[in-house]
Amino acid sequence: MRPAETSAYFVRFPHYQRESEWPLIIYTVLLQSAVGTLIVGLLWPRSWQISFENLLVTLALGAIGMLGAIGHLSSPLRAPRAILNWRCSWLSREILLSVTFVGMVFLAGLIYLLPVLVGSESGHSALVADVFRVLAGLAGLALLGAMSMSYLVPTRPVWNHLDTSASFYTGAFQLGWAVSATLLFVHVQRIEAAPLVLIACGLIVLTLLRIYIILRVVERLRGLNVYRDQPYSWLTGRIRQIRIVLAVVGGVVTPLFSVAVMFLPETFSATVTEGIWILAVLLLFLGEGMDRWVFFEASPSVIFPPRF
Amino acid sequence: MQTIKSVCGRCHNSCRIIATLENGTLVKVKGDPDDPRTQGALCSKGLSATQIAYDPRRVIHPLRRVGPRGDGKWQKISWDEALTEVADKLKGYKEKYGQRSIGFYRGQAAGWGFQYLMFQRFCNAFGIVGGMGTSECFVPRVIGEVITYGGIPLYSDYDNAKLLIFWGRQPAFSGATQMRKIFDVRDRGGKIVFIDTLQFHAGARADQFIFIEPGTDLALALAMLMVIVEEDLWDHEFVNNHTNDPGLRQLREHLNGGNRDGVTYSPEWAEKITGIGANVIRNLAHEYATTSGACLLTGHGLEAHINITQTARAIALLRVVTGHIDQKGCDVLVPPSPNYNPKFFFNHLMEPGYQEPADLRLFGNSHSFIPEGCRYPLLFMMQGLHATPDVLRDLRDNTTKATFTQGGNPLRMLPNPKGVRDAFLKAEFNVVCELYHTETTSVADIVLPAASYLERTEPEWFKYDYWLPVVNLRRQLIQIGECKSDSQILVDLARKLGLEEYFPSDDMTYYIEDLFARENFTYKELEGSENGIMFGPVMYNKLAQFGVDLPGGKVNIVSVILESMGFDGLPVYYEGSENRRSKPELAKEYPLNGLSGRAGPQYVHCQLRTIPWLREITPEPFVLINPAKGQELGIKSNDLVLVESPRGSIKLKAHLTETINPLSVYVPGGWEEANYNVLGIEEDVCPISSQANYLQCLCRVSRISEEGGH
Amino acid sequence: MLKQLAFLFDPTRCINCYSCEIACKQENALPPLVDAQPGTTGPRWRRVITLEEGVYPDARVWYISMSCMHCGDPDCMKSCPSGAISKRAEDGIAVRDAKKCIGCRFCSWACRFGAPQFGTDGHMEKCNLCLGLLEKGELPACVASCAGGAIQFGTVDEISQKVSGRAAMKLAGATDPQFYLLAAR
Repeated sequence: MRPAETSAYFVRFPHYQRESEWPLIIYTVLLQSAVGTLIVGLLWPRSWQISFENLLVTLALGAIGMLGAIGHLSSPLRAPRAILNWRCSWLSREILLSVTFVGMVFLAGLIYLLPVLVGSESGHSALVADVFRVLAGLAGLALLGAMSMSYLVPTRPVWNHLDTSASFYTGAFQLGWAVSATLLFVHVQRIEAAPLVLIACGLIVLTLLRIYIILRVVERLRGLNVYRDQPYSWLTGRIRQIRIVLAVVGGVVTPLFSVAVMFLPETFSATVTEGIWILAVLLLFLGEGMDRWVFFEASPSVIFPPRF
Repeated sequence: MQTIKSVCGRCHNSCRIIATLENGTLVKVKGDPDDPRTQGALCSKGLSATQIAYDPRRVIHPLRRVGPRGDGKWQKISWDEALTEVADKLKGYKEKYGQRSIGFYRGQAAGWGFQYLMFQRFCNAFGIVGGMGTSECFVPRVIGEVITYGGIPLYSDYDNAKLLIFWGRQPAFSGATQMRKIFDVRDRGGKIVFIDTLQFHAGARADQFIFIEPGTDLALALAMLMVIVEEDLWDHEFVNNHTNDPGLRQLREHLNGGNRDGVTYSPEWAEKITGIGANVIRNLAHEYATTSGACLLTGHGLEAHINITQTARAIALLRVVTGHIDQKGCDVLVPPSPNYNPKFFFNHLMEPGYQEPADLRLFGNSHSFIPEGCRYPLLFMMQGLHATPDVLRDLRDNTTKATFTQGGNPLRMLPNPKGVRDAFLKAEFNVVCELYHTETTSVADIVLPAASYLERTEPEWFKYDYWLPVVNLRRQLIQIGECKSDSQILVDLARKLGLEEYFPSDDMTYYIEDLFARENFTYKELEGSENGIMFGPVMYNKLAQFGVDLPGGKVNIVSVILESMGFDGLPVYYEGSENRRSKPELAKEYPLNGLSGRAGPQYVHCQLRTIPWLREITPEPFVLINPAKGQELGIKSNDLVLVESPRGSIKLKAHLTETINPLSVYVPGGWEEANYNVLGIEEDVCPISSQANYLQCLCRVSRISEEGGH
Repeated sequence: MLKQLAFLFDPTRCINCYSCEIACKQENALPPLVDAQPGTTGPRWRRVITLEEGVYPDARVWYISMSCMHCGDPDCMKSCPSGAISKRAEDGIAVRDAKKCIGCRFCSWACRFGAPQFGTDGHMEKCNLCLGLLEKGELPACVASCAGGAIQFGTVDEISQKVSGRAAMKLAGATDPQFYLLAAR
């Protein structure tokens, strides 16, 4: 028996006050990209300066993301209460892991900086810092899992699928790869062919994986009944099309372009490469932001009609 | 904190309420559990009383127009100034042009109880005749019943009924508080049947729901009569001894082709018109005739077809031939009001030689007075108001020069709104008593702030359903601005007009006491009574015992009154004004039935759209369309669609629902932004009652855009 | 000793008149938002939903009035990160502590029945079975004003007395909703 979702005498249940979901969009996108940036940064060979920049950007993404989370609450001053129910609530666990993640990243960065701060002559305690980085990475992976679990709720058919988890993880790594790559090319003056091609291929592979996940989501939603009679179905369709275009341009075309530029000596330069990769990052973030906007905006809540 | 018992007046059902006030502010209203009619239930409208009371959009001061009509600019004036101007103008027009130059009009909202009686007293004292508010609803049906058995069976004996047939009636909209009693009938083993065009709200709860082709109820009733007559299911004792067609000779002949059209009103004939299977018709007729406690509850859904009065007649005949009238478990004739003091009305001023009757109830008007210009005497005799077509004619040909409207918004609620607006604009002076600014106040010269039911004290006996013969006191709970009740406005105006002889006091108590001078209770007793006062018994079988005040002294199966006026004495089937059968050529261009009616359980006509709790349930109108038809036209729910009839078009969103026939669409009535009356019919009227065919027409629907405007 | 209170709903008596919704709004002074935010409603602690099945002319249309189910094992309580939701020991009514709510809205994602609503302060609010009225020995507002007499409530024992002669089914659900439906005859 189907609920008559928009009965004439029953306007748009249950969209009581439409709260803006921008805080949650910012929180999820930025924190996921922070996790991805950190983990990709851990996996790539690097110098401590590159690691430190990576940490800095991770921290920035994470901190702004946390501001988004707090902005979502109507009583932000009570935010610390949010971890109290970690025994039962996935949201509590998510917040706890976010705090742990950002905290670990902060500590790792502090440890890197400590020698400089205290004016010591001994080398940077990269090992200790790396331990915290690894811990942060583990917390980040767990955080992506906890975030996924928060959205796997039976009342939101659009979210309630492994697709959501897949989107979060692939999105995190795709963005993380792009950010790490950009940081690298900004930092390094002379780029060699092999690493550049590898990095570009890495982004292309991750992007294709991300697009595959998006297409699976679209396919699944087409089959779902909940979009019938709902507002915005025209808009979500168009936004998803633009979002895929952005992913293709940012994650496939731009790295290919960067590789192509490298083989054309007249045009190649570190600055151009930087510019191309910054563009890629912006387009990918924009795409992921649009994706997340549709994720929240077009997710009708379906109550369960009593069966009798 | 204070709790006061009062009577709700948001519609006509007069449910008892308990109001809570804190420091003079109304803070809560709930149903009175001691009310035998409701057991404490109260509908969504009554429960919104606290928002109704303090609606900031109300007009709370007398206003005079500044600038041309329609500009919407007003100047606040005092009551004294306002009433003096109104009185001077009215006196002037009356002296110069006579009584037909003054048009005093009624809508539903002013009430049909005490307020209406005060209106009549005023009209008689001033020497004019009121109009409007009567062609549109209820009275056209009532004519059919009164000329058959001399009264209206307002009390359906739910406690003893075993079969309830709701025919064109939606209790969820206009009598929700009686639903407990109605469902109790089923709990005791009874059956609930609905005959309607929309299977929603209370209709969705029927044991048997019968979809009927809109406007063909007369055919169904005739076919049911045929079954009852031919299969000898009629009440021989009652028919032979107490009606004017013993043996049903005339009725049998009439149904079997002995009528003006030579048509035999068989179930097979009716099936082709109504869309209801002949066997279903037979079974329904059987059940109704053979169930010993069977009620036929009719409603506004039957109305707004040009065959309305004959339809009501045919349904009345169903009650008569089965004997299910004024019996236990059936529809019972009850005294509708206390017995009025005839001297209250001054009817003799308009009708010299008026004989004061021993029993004067309900509308209090004289049933033999027909005024000049009245083309619908039967209608006038019921309620004492000019038919709307007569009112509009007098406005359009400049006979009426000054109007005074209370409790109505004719510029939205009558068909052909633009034509009605033009008619009102022709009048030189328009006064409107209203709670809000409406289309009708936009053509007014003076607006007088009227009080809601929460702001006046008056006796209330009028009801909609389960009309127990009890009168309760509605008590004033609050005062809003300078608002005055419609009755008070008339009293004050009368005194300005120099009619103190007929309105000696400005205290409403005087008039209430005058009204009940003949009754065996006083106003003081009513004031002190917690549960009201019964003014009559519920008695069965009065027709057989006391006869009927109709030609021949018996129940008129053949209506002598109708025959004497040149109408069919027994109902002959004829089609509504505009449908696939009566206008097949037009139906090629406009293939759908465009229906309208009430807007929902939380609204009354065009009222209550500003009440936030009610508005947030339905902030805008949706046209109801069957999903199969929607698919054919490429329309989904929430799409903006155009509904067009030969007379005009409206735009509103669509809602797909299986509760309506694919060939019909339903536009809820009373919405300013999508007014069905733009589509509807004004000129085709029932020749007996003047009711226009205003809620059904031919139309077509097309999609404008997806989901409201992209 | 927990005497869990539950709602008993008779869908054969519901006519979609919205009395229950408005009675609830009046009792709890719920603010409408239709003027401030057109297209939305204010908090609706009680909501009547429409279910349609089949096709014309044999469609079945049902109306269900739903508020909080006061579940035996509520998802809202488990999902609330700050532990603002709890069940009363004496009658199992699920209540929220306004001082603990952080306004994250996670409970509204978890509840399968749409019970959590949000007021203008952004904190969660929902049906509390009219605790205040129960304490005075009165009926909850929706029960008192229901036009058809469709909504009743009581402990399981009281409910089993009310349904004599008719089957009452407890609503199925992993959260043990305290909601009984009377079957059609």
